[in-house]
Amino acid sequence: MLTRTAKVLPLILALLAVLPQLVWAAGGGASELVVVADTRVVKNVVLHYFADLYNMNMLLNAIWAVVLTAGYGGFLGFLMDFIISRCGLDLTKRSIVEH
Amino acid sequence: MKRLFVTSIAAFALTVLLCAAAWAGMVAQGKCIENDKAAKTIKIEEYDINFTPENKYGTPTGTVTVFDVSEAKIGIPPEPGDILRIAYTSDNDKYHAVKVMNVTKQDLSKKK
Repeated sequence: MLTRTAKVLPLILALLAVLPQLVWAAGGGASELVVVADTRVVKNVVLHYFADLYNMNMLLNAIWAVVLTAGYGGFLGFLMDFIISRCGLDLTKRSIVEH
Repeated sequence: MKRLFVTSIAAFALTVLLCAAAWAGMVAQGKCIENDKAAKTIKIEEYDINFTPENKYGTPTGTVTVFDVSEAKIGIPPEPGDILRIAYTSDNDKYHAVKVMNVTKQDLSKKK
């Protein structure tokens, strides 16, 4: 039984590998989706800046996304530290309290 | 050390802002009149931003503009009659498209 399965297994794996290509062959090549932000209707200066960046320079847009995400993470971390300290827990000391 | 840190942050912010200013572009939307694949140009009749139920992509202005799309990123291939949204830069009265969105065939507002 195991021997037979071992013989059929490569065939099944090969079929699975080929299946997606059969599906692609059924239709035409998929077009790339390009999205352009309509900066004509954006009045806010900051939003206009980011919309323009999205249209014209995707690399800088990605850098901004990383910087803002890191900044937001830092903000949440400091906020949580503040809340925890207000709860009376001092996490800056490493002394273990055991009873 | 603190001064170095602040200076680095300021330099980074200035660089980012200057880069963005250098890449500032414009956007035009309108009906595709011609898509010349040989000349790599797209001609559109521009629409304004007066959106109405009858003209949900804007009202036709009658202004016909030709965009050089030789270096543009083009989505679903445009055909005459399609509504296109083009991000572009201009120099010496020539318009260079950067991205071309086929609004008609990629209508994100259909779900509304």
